[in-house]
Amino acid sequence: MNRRLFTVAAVVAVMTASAYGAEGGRQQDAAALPQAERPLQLRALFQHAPGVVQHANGMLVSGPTHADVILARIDTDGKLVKVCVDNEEAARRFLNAPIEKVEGRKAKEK
Amino acid sequence: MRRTILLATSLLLAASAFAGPGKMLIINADAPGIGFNDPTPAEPVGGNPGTTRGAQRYNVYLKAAEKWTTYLDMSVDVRVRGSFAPLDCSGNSAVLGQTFINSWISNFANAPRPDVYYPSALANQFAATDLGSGDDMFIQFNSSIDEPGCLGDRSWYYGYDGNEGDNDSLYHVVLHEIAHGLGMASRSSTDFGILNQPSVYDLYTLDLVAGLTYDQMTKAQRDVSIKNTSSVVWIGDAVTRMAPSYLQPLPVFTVTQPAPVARHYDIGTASFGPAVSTASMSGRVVQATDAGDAAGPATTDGCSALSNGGEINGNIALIDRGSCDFIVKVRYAQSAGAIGVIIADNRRDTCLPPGIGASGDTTDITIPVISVTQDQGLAFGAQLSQSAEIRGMLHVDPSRMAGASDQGYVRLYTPCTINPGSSKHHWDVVASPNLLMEPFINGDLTDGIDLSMYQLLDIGWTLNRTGRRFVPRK
Repeated sequence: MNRRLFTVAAVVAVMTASAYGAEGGRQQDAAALPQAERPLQLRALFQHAPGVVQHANGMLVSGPTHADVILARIDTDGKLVKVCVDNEEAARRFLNAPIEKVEGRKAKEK
Repeated sequence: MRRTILLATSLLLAASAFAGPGKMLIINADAPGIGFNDPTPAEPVGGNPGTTRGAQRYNVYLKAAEKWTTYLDMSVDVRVRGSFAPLDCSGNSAVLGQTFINSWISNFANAPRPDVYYPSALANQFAATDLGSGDDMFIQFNSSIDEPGCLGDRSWYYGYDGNEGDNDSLYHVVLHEIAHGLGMASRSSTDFGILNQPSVYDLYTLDLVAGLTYDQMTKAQRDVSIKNTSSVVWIGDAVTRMAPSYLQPLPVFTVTQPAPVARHYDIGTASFGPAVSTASMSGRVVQATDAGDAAGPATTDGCSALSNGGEINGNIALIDRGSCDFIVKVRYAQSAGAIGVIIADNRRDTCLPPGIGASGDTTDITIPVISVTQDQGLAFGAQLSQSAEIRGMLHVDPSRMAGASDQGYVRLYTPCTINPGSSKHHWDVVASPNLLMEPFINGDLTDGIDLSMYQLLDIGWTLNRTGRRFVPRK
């Protein structure tokens, strides 16, 4: 073993256990819905727990810290609006806002 | 067992975008019969010669990899682990895909800077060897998009020619994701961990207000900066040098009086009416007033015929956003004789002036229409309520670029509230024309890699075949 392993970073996700419980409950309910009505399950996409490995020569190697996630919604004109997000809050904001209020590059009618 | 199968599949099906030195390997991580290996017959489309759905998917990855490999020297193989999986989807929204950098490496042999993390794909190039951290990036897309009931029965478009119609072009999305994997990303937005090591991206990310790059800031300073709209910029030489070749001159509204509001204003533009590049709008700004009624409860929303038409005539109408379509407001203002319209936003989610759109026939609109932020609109309104006369003019400033700071640095997307779009890892949405690495992936991208390639050169990638490397920032 010519390298020592230690973890210097912890879980990125900051959700509480109670939040997980609530999410699980929603997921069960959602499973009964037809696909067109199911809310998206997002949390797992943003959960990374990067450990850092230090090699004998001083090199540090860190695991993934976050994901860039591409989301899509259908706009009022039927076109797709696509956005790249790197955190769950931004993802939920994009998905939950009335589509006409999603501020992108695209011009809005109201 | 499943892991063994996947590994074997990967070894068999790994392919390179280019033969010879400088390869981007697309590692097929899908099990037989699904994803890249989906045997569903398909007709060749938009330049993609694949005859199965799986082959077409894989070809898109290869095509995107080839694009990057054409421009960037990859003396050490870049390993992209790709797959398709049934990710979340509903009738009107979906997770299209995800990507992440598998490893960040610092203090490796030949590292340009100590104690700075580099994405492994780039670290390998500096070290001139594979540092052994495995696949460099992971890119996965949603196979459910091709299934009925997902996103209103849209499907992936696997052509490369931009003729996706209402479907979703996979090609530009893969180009976008690979750029993140190559280095349009930092290890963290603001938290550098207990070792306090920045990523190479942070060395070039400058907050113009603080006058500091992200590696020079404390975490508390970065937490403030990440919401400092319009003031966080990329200071790499390559991007800065090339920006005038890609970004258009900036249309601005310049207020000449009164002093409290006299300055240049970034504006949102409209998809109808005369183009701001040619439009003439110079004069006095007047608050439009109308009845507070069912069409719009505010007396400044312009949703009914204007009650101060005499004052509006020959001047620029200031109208609040909200309650009715923009086109309704503009028609009332034009009918009253306004020479132009300024829409003041009614929300401050992005702190940027909104784009103004309309549907249907808008050819009757002959006056220019622009927008300002809510804060700017309130400042104008405050002056007008004190009987101050605001005078201003719309013009294109050839010395400034749409998407760059006054100093010529290209702006990064740092919305003032948490908003869709990765914080600081994208170009600002005000860039014009649209760029590949804006958070909103627009359908009008022409040159797939635009300024984003120069961002990668800034952090240390070299141009293919030339061996030219921009000197990393000291």
